[in-house]
Formats: sequence, structure tokens, C-alpha cells
Amino acid sequence: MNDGGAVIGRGEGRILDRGYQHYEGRRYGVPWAMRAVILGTVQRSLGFRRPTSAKIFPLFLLLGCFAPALIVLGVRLLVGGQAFARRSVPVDQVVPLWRYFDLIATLVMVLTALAASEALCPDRRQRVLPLYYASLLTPRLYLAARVAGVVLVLCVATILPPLLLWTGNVLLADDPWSYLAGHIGQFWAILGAGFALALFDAAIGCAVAGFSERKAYAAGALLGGVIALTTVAETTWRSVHADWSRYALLFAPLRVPVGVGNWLFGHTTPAAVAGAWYLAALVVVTILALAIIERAYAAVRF
Amino acid sequence: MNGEGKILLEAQKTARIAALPGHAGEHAAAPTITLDHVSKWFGEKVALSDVSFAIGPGVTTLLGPNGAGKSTVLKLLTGQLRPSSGTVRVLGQPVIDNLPLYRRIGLVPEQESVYGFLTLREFVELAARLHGLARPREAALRAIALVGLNDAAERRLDEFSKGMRQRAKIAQALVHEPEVLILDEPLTGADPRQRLELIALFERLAEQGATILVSTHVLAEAERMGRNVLVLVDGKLAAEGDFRRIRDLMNDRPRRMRVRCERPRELAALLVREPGTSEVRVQPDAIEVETADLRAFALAVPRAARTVGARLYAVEPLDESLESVFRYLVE
Repeated sequence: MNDGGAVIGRGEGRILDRGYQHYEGRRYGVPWAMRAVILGTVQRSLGFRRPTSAKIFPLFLLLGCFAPALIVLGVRLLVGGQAFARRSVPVDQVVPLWRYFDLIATLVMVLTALAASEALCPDRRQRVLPLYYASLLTPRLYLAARVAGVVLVLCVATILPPLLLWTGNVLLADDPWSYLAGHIGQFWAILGAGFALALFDAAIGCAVAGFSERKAYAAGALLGGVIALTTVAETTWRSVHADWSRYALLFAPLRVPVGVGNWLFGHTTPAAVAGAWYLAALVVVTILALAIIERAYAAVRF
Repeated sequence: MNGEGKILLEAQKTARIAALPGHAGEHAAAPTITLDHVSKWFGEKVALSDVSFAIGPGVTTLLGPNGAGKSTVLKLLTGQLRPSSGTVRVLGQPVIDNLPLYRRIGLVPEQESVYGFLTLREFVELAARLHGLARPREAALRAIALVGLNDAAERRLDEFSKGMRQRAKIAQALVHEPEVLILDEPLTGADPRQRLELIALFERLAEQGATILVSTHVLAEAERMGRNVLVLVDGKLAAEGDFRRIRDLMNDRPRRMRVRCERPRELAALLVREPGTSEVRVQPDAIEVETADLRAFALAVPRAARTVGARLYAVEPLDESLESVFRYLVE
């Protein structure tokens, strides 16, 4: 009897199962494998295909990053520009774009702690690294893909909210076209500042998470370290009355990418340290962090 | 192994490699896995010392006590470690950072190595993507079918038993249809029926031309998986090839033979006089003989049987098991 229930007649035959057939589809290269890891990192960091509890915290943090833009634009949409009429600043400067990165820097760092630890710690804890290294990925490529995934997640928090505010400013302007022409530079500044913040945070987040098998330890170490460093740097700047003390802010992880962002927007950077200094600090720390984690993964392969 | 044993094995090396089936004899033209004078040390600890071997398609078992260097060999073969000296080649190519080669190798690591939060299908699909397969779901379902877990494809791995997790790991190693399979303790946790099925799967893949290197410390499993073995002791290759032929080469140790026959007492009385016979035990329908000269024994048994008018039913070795070979090599 076949699947459909019909009785096969005498002398007839039917093949129901030809058994195992080899895979004959296309085989792609390294970019395909890296794409899989990047997508997996994004999904894991944002809690996709995970219990609701895993989704709540990243969602909450993302909402927090979008909140200033959503509130300002929402009020303008509902009430109009006169809602801010009593303030002495133009309506598109209620939350200035250059300030946006300062507002969300702490939230982004918390999101980094979640995303980086989620990206790297389970692989060490579950001991799956050999499976990655036995595929089309070397330790370096694996790390590059994981870091890229974290950067991508952070970019959602660092680029999309100010971009939304900027787009809203354009659309709600009295003359959108002339507003756009006059403020197109802000678009590029948002991309640059958002990417710098995401890359910097992702690099130091992954450098810390790469040394722990446990997500809680990695996240705690990152946040504790960042808070401690920033506090010491800020205290030094405020309490030591010497010109050099302002350069202490170059050691404050929450200040460095914000300084770069302010500089890209052409605004005064924290403690009036030249923007190039912040950029140099960002580049050096990012390269150092990536080098440290690369060495760690290359040394112990599994 | 004592010094004498090492010297003996060293002296036999050339003849052994030439003689053993499944190795140089059968696959000398195209060995798929080659280690040439490979050493690996970690600081002052020597994990492997001047190990050389070449194996071809088929199932080969890597045996050795804990700390013998088995895992180091497997890591070298999958590019996880770089040899301190010597060369490692798989399918004729160097291994380290050779990404195209990794498409042709499947690895089942000893560790847990699964994501509990993924379903089996998602886990195997991930492996398919990491190997660049454009139709990962299709490939994953084929691999899952191979290990007989179709019904569990949509279940999360943290709900799996240890044996099922092992099969999940094997499925991810098979998903890209590798030519070389490296399996580190693949049967751990599997129940007896699953073990038989997995061994049958390995044999089937080997028949299709795959080279399968299985590390295990369970001798009964190794014996079931085939005759070809590599035995590592203290980071050195102690023996390789068909373990029955290795037993033949252990001529410094008496052989134990059982002769099932009529009139065992009379037959024993004649055989005990043979030179080389060191022990004879009489049983109701058989005798057990320990002899240092197997050739003389083989000639003496039929002669003695004719003399006493006894019928012979069987002459069989008692110590030709892998366990006896292994014990000899590691003691």
C-alpha cells in the first residue's frame, strides 16, 4: 500500500524512497559563513527566538535610545512647534543632534554589555568554538563577524534614533527642501558619530566579554570598569585645577565617543579638548581592544 | 611500555607500515591524512613526539590512554593547533588556515559543543551556513535523517539526552558531506542500539570513500569499528595498522590458543612436550595452550591429533583481541 492508501496491483512496482541523496546545491565562501555569524549575533543580542525575558531588556534599552526623538517629534506632531515656544531655542534645537549621543551614551554602553556578552560568552561556555573553527572561519574571521554583529546591533541604537529626529526635523520644517539643503551635513555627522560610538563600545565590550564564559561576569566587568574609569577621569578633571586635567577625559569611555560626535557636528567637545584628541583616543582604544581579543582567541583555539 | 618494547616496535616500523592493510599497502598512493615527524609541545610539556603515520579511506581508530596525545592529533588535523615541528597534511594539503580544505573536513569535538537554545534543525542549519551551503535547510534535514533524528528535528537541544546530543554533533559534522571525518569520542552517551546504528553509519560512509578517524578509549567500540588502529602512548606512536597483525608482531610474548577437540587429555600430553609450549590447560572438550612458537604449534597440533586419533573441531587464538594488543603496548 502506498502513502495514498491505494493497493498496488499485482506485477506493479513503486519506488517510495530513493534513500539518501547528496547535497547538490551551491556552496559559497567565507562571506556566506561570516554573514551567518553576524546574523546570529544580531538575533541573539536582541533576543530573537529566545524567551520573552531575553527580549525585554534589549528592547527596553533600544526604546530608551529612541525616546528623546520620539518624544520631541511626537509633541511637535500632536501640538505643533508652539509647544516649545516658551523656550528660547529654535524648535529643532530642543534636543540638538550633537547632544543626542551624550544623552544615549550610557544606555548604549549597557546595551553593549548585553550584546557583547551574548555574542561571545555562550560560545566559550558551550564549547562550540571548535565547530566554528572547523568551518570556513579562522579565529580572526569568527571574531570579526561577532564584533561586526555587535556593531550592527549598536548602530540601531546610535544611528537610527538621531536619524529619526533629523528626518522629523526635515519633514516638519516650514520649508523641508531648504531645511534639508541647509542641514545635509548633519546627516553625515550622524552616520559618523553613531558609527564611532558603536564601534568604540563594541570593541571594548567584546574585549572584556572575550575573556569570560559567563555573561553576567562579562557584563558586570564592562559596566563596572567603564563607570570606574569615567568617574576617576571626571573627578580628576573637575577637582584638579590644572590645564592638563581636562585631558583626563580621554580616559573616560563614556566621554571619548561623545567627544568625537561633538567634533563631527562642529560643536565644542567636552572640557574643550580638541576633537582630534578624542578621535585619536577612540582609534587607539579601539585598535588596542581588538588586538587584545584577537591575541586571546588566536592563542587558545579551543 | 618498557624500553625493550619501544625498541622492538621501532625496529618493526618499516616492515609494519608496508605490511598493514588499510594503510600503506592499500592506500600508499593516496593517503588522505599524513603526519610526518610531527611534534607538539606546550611550554615544557611534550604532547606529541615525532609522530608519523599515513592513513587512507576507511575507519581508523585512534587509541591511547588519557594524556597520550589523541586530542592533540585531532586538533592538528582540524587546524586547531599548529605543530611545533613536522608537517600535517589532509587530502594532500597543509591544514592551518586552509579554509577551502575545511569544507572537506567534518569535526565532532569531544566537548558538549551544542547550543541548548537552538532546535536540532537550527543547529545543523547553522553548521551548513558556516560551511557555505546555499540551501542550508535542505542539507540539514538530510544530515539529521542520516543520524536518525528526523522526529526530533524541531526540538530544542537542551531537551536532548546525551546520546541524542552526540548524534546532533555528528549531524552537524556530516551536513556538508565531508571527505574526512574527525570524531572525538563520538559514541559517548549513546545507548547500545544507537552505538550500533552509528557504527553502521560510519561503516557506510567509509564504504563510500570517506576517511574516518575516530578517537576512543573504549576498546570494545574500537574493535567493532574496524581493524585499523593507531595507538598513541606518551605522545609517541606505539603501533598502527590491523590490530591482529600487530598482535602477530608481538613475538616476544607467548600466544594463547584454544584447541577444541576430542580426547583433550591425550592431545595435551603430546603438545606439552613441544618446544615453545609453556602452559597447557585441559578442559572437558578443549585444551588451552600458551606457546612462544606459533609456527611450531601450528605444525604440532594436527600431527598430535593424528597420533592420538582425535578429531579437531577448532583452533583459535585467545589473545588476539584489541584489548590484549592495547594492554601489551601501554603496560
